[in-house]
Amino acid sequence: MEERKQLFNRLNFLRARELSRSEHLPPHTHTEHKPELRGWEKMGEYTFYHRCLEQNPLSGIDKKSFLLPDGTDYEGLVFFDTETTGLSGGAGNIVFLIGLGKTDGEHFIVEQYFLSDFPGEGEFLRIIEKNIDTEKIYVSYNGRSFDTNILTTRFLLKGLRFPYLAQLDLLYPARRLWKDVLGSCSLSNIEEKVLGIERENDVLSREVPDIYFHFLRTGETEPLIPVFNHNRRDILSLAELLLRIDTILFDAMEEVSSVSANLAEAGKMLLQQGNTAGIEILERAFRAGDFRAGKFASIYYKRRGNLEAALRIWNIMWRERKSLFAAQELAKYYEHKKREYEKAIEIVTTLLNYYKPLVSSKRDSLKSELLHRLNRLRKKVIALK
Amino acid sequence: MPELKKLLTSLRKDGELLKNIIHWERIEAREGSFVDFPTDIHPLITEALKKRGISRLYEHQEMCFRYVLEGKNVVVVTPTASGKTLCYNLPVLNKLLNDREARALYVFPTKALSQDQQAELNDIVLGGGLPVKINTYDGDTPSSVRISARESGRIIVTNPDMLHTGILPNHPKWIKFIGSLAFVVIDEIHIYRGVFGSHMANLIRRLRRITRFYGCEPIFICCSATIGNPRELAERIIGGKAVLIDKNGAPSGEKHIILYNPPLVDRVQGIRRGVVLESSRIASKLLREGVKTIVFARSRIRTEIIASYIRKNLKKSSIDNGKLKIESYRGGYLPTERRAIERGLREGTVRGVVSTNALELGIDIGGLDVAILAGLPGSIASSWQQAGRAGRRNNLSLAILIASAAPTDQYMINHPEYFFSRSPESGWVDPDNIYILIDHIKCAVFELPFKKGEKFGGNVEDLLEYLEENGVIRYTEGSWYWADRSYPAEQVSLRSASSENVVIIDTTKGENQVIGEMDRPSAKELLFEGAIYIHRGDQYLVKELDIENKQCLVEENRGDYFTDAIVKTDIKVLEKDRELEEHGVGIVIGDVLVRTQVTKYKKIRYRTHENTGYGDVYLPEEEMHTRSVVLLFGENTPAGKILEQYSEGLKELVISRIGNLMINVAPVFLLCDVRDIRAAERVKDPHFSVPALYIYDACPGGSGLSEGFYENLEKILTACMDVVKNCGCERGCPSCIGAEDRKPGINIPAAEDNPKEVVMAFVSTWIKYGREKAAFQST
Repeated sequence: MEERKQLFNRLNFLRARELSRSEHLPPHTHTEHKPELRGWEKMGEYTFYHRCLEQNPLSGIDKKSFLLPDGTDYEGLVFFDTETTGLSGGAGNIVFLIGLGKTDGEHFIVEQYFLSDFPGEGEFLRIIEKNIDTEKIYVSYNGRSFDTNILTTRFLLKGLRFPYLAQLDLLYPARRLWKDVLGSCSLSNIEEKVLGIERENDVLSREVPDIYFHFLRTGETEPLIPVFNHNRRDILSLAELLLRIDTILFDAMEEVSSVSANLAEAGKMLLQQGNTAGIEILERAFRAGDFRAGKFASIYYKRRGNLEAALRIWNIMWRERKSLFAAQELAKYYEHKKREYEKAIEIVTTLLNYYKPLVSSKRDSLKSELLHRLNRLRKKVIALK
Repeated sequence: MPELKKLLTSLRKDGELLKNIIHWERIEAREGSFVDFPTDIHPLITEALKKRGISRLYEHQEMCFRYVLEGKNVVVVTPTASGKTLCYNLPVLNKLLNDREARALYVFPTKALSQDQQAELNDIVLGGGLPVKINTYDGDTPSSVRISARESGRIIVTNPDMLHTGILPNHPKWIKFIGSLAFVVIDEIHIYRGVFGSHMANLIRRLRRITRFYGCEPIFICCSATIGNPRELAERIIGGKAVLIDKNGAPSGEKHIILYNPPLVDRVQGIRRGVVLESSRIASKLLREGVKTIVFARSRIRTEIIASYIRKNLKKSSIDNGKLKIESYRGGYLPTERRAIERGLREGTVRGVVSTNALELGIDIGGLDVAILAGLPGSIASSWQQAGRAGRRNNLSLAILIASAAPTDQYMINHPEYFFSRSPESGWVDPDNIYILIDHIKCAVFELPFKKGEKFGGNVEDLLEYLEENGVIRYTEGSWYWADRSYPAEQVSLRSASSENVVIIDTTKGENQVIGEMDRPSAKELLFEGAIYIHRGDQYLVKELDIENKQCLVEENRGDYFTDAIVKTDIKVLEKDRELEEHGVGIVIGDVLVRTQVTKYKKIRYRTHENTGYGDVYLPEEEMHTRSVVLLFGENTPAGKILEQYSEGLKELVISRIGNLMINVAPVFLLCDVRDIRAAERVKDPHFSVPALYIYDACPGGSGLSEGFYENLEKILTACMDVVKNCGCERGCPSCIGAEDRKPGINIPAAEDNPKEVVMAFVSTWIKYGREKAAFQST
């Protein structure tokens, strides 16, 4: 009895300590709710389903996406997003809402699945599994490292296997196009700055878990509605974003100059998708003074054996801005291809002199590399003589 | 070691030295007991070992192999250099070769140790071409390697912190590994004592919960340095039965152990030559003779100072090639620096090293001839561990234990029989310590829902209900689920030391170079503005300590002094759990908030160690919530009545001296380090309004030491009396009640002028009244 009392004294004390540390949550009570969700269909004891038609952002567009393999059109895509109980991953973080968006050409359909309490997770995941069409390509935002990861974990814990999804994660192209311009490439920032979308009555992503927990505690479904809307809105944004990226790539090819994205990256992206129009974009960006574009383009030329084109770019880069990259490439070119050692020596020496005041400990490895090259070149010159 | 042999002979003739040697113990060399390789061992292993020159096993290695094969958990206790790693590598590799699915988890207390062990394991595995993939998985593992480690690593080498925050909370990612986990190896299990051990025990509970979920029961193989209760400790940590293997089959060389007490320089005040100067002098002497020496110092500052003294001493003398490389070694160095020093020691380019206890653990530093303990570590076990660092590979070796002025040191050095006959301390843990338990239950619920009736050590339903009320977990349909957006493991630190580190940046001549790091609380005491920071012999002056941004800017400096912070501590009582009157005093056990602040520092001149000035420090205080036992000398308690007779000024002195004495005597009874408990006196305590002596846990949250202090109070008091009475000084010295500290303005009557007599009178009366009271109560 005495010990018991002490235990609770200590526990209350601990609580007071935690209270002072963070905002306090109301307790979870032993309640099991039978929630009613208007407009949602009950698919199992804990799983709810909702389907709605949205204005189709992809309607009337017949362009094929540059980011997708040939033969895939927008109808072969599923846009998806999940809502979870935590933002940091780990075994204690569950998915309670998943939304899937598709187009049949005419409509844009968003389907949502909602889990109303922990014990229903197995049932919920089995229903999701049934509704995943592995023939489709799944479009997400950060889905590669977050959504599919956490779903894989949830499936595993229930003894299920999350199917392999062909996935297009728009975070990566978005980062390449706008990281320089926007800094943060969160979906909300992209929406605001790139898509020009202003959300009304929206919840913040980081507030979502607590809204769900509030629902679990009270059974009140009203506060969940903004979460459902938020998820639906995210899925629509995914479709709009894909379209936007495609438009940018298209405009870049068509030399429409209104592009407020990284042109060099756009060109590179196209090249990586096997679209040779990319090289034109790179050249254009290079002419406009973007040396990174020049660098990509010259690497592209070099790999394809078009040394002449590469040389043209290197020469400009070296002449105009003493580019380190160009100098090294030129030195390699004169040493190994042309065997004009004197010329290579000249470039290396100029480079060494030019960068001398800048050489710090960080540049030590570069410096020793250059000196190494210089020595080798000199030996070769002597050998020739 | 011909040099050492010669040296020992000459030491025996050194009259000056012999005067201060209290005891010289010689331990005979011992033959090893060997057995042939078991026939059921995988031939690839036998081959790999033969390649490394191992043709037979030590008896204990074979025993371990046998028990593990039988499916038993084992705990192996053998001294340094007894082939301990093979004890676990043998059965583990054997199983991994026979069963392609089986996996093993190796847990080492620190990153440095895991790296060292992985290197050794790689030698066997790669050298023998064994098809077993080994991966280190810790905070330094690049994310590109992590996936492949999880997927295909057969042996994962990690540390408790990574297991806690990285592996267990993400167990589904580890399904392949954890789902086939056959072994868990816990090396250096003696490290997991007290709070850290209680965390470890709970971590293992969590691990076992997860392996059970995936349907496997791993075998635990634990290794320990010598401690009093290895089997008990291991069983508490792994939460299951274990077989003890403590029969050492390895041979060992002749060992000499010298207990050395520095000479008195002031007999009246009882001041001895300092341990720093004395150990540097002796170490220099030995190094000059060409013997490889390690010096263990008790703090980071001392490590650096002893190393620099030795370097200076040796500058004048040159032997062989004229170069004697002396290194210092401690936490806070960059990993590359540490690896380089370890390598130097193994390869013999470094002849001498001065280290904190960081090298006490099993990092392979090759053979050393002599270990010097500059001050005794708090425990017998640690003393043996450090002394055992000399004489690997069955050579002649020497350990010199140099006593500091600290009372425990003086007590031990003057009681050699105590030192040599006493069995080493026991390691104890309290896995059901509520603070620790509740944190790990949170983590456990996060990892897997908790079923009603499920045990975690014992029944924890009330704690689950508490967490539920607290709003972080949800009970529904017979299970508790994690229902909070946070990641609980991130909020729980296994170590009492803060993991937040301050980076030390050298800004000399405009360069910005990271030279080391230090935990935040230590930084406040060692890296304040104006502090001297010494790093591998280079001296820096701290220009700025930016706690918020976790950085400290320093600049090269050539001053002839080092600094020592004056730390002020303030204690606030938060909660009283028990209030009683026993042993002649009022006793309160409860929670306290300890706030420490550095307000001033001393400048201390090198060599002479005289005080050459003061400086001010302006830093925010450091807060710690912990457990305390408070001794209250109220005027109606017997001890309080005696105290009441003294003048105000003397009261404070008496309590402070007794606190000093107790804190130095108590570790022997509490089986902890002196640094694990602290004392603070308040002659007019603001909370209790009577003279009070606080004894409190140095670990945040407390680790049961305050309760232990209360339970042992009578024994501690008796020992205090014993120490003062038998101390050779006249008026008190650092070895008993502390050096006499006359404060100006306090007039002490002639009759009470001798502090030692006052304390003796006080303690003896206290004990007498305490006993009478106890006798009275028991009738």
